[in-house]
Amino acid sequence: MTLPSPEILLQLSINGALGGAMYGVAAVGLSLIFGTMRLIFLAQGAMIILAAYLVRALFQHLGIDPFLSLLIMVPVGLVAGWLIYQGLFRKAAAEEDRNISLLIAVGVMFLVQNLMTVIWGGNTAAVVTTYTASGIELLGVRASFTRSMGFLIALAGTALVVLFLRKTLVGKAVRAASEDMTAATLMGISPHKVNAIAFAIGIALAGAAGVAVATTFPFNPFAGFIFSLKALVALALGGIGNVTGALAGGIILGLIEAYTQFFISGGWTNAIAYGVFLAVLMFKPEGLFSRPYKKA
Amino acid sequence: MSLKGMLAALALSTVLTGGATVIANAAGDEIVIGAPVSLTGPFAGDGKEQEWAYKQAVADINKAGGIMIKEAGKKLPVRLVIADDESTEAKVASAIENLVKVQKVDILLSTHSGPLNVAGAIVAEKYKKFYMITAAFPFEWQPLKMKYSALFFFHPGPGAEVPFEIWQKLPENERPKRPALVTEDSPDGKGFGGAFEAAAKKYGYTFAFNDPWATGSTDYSAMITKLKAADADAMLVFGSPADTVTLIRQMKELGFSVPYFHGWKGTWTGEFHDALGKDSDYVLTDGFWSASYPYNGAKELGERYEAEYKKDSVTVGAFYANAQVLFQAIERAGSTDAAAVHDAIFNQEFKDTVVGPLKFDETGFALIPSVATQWWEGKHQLLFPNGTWTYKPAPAWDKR
Repeated sequence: MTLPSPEILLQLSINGALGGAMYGVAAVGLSLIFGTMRLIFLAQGAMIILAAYLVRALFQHLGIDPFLSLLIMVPVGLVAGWLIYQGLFRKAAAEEDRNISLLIAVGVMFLVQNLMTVIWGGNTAAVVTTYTASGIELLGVRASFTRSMGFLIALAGTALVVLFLRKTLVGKAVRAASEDMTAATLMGISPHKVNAIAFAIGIALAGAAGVAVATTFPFNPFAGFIFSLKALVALALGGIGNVTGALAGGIILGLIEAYTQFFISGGWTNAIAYGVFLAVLMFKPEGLFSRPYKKA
Repeated sequence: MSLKGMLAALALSTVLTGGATVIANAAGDEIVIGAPVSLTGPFAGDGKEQEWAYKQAVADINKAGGIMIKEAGKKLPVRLVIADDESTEAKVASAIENLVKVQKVDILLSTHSGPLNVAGAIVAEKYKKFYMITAAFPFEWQPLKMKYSALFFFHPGPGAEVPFEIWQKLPENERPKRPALVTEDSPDGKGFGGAFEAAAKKYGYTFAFNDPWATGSTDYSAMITKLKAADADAMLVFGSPADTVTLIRQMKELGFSVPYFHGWKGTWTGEFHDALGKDSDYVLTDGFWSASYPYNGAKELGERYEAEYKKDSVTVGAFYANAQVLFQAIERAGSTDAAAVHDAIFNQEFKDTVVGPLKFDETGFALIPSVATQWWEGKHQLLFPNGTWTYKPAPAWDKR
């Protein structure tokens, strides 16, 4: 097999990275929630699709540009995340058994999927703007405008979360709780408060991801599950609980998918992505960007 | 469980429920027809079209006084009872159980898609209620050798020959030289993929690109890069609406187009056009029916649908015809008794339907042609079979 030209490799790399950033932003939210609650929030994908429907509704009924709706979706996500935690997870989070929280997450996923079906129907929905399906020149190759915007949203969202975690007192409390909840609690940090903050930010990121999804892909109420799965793979690649690693994991997953599609076959894309997921969990369970776990 | 085992279990449960199984007949004041339909879930879009078509058919037959039942010596009105199957096989089964046992329907019209209809046919067989099916591939239903269901639909084999038939009619210099085959990585996709390969061989074509694509993927840029490298000038694509819309959007973003783009499964729906707008122009699509058919009632049905929904449909006629066949079969049988309806359909011909004449074979299957239309300004223009529309090759994106 002859090696493709540098232009083709660059094209594959840019498009793979742009696509992967979408998984990354979903994984960052999962990572934050897992960090404090030790919960894989399986409903994250459904929340992203719910956000995409809201973005579409804002665009269709109020004429608000999808990218401008970020200013609405992020605060709405923060409030919704806070309320979801307080209303559904607060009691379960206090339990030693994490399965209860996991079951609630599954219940939330099905509830949101079915609510969306009742409200908007099961058909494929899409947002069509003047810039839909527009291409731009990026580093000398063609790239999608909306995916490039999605990439910027993912970068900005992750950067803000990292700044929040490193530079603010509340953020430091979230980090402390994610490292050792018992020690953090002994230091006077309220576990419910940090859990609620992590949830709020996680759902706000779902709101931001919803903007990227709505402008780029068609979607239906059940499309979120694949997002949750891919975000989970990105999370494992980047290191569970590692925010920047989650974004990087998403980008790596996007690159794996693009290279697999090009060099092997489109039919192998998912098999290889999930194979890599299993291999990482088996041989480097702490992820590609974290230090190995200390042995007891 | 093997098919044999499944049927044995069904037979046993039928024996056990013995007294509860009622052989219906149309000697009452009305004929009650049940239909599981996907009103919610992923197939809800198609289900709504099916519901509309069934309701239209029932309204039309009732307007004509109902179905003539010789045994009753009069025409009996039809009452339709629809149960949501939530787009899942398990719910089709429970929806039919509900229709038969609680709603006490006399006979059944089908939901759509192969897996759902196979599940429905098995339950109908158990209760000895006749189940009239459309929108399922014969290779999924025929091996079950059902006595109390019949099917009309197109077959992937002849369906896959449609693009080659269209190309044969083009001037030599307009025929694709480097066609590409892209089929989704699913059982249906694989089935169709094999049919396309066989058809290509039959018509003397070789695919310059032949690769499956992952369902539900969000990025097809690598595949598009490969298609560009293969210099493809036509694409035969089997995939869901969401995947096909994502593919076409990315093709535009990356500045790649082919003169001939023909889609199956994902390109005929209204949502495909809604998601792409003008970019859906030039795309060829499959379908089960066309309002341009010359058959009695086809044009009027299409106009009725368009007046109500402000868009056209390439499916409602098939669902309407499904009800037409059942009405005519009940009239011929003089009853809704499953065995009598079986005899009225198997090896019989139905000449007056909106999909044209249907000739059922000894297995209860009747073949209809796969339709090819080209999207143009939000409407399906009929190309095949016997369409009057002239095929328009797609120019490059920046020349549209």
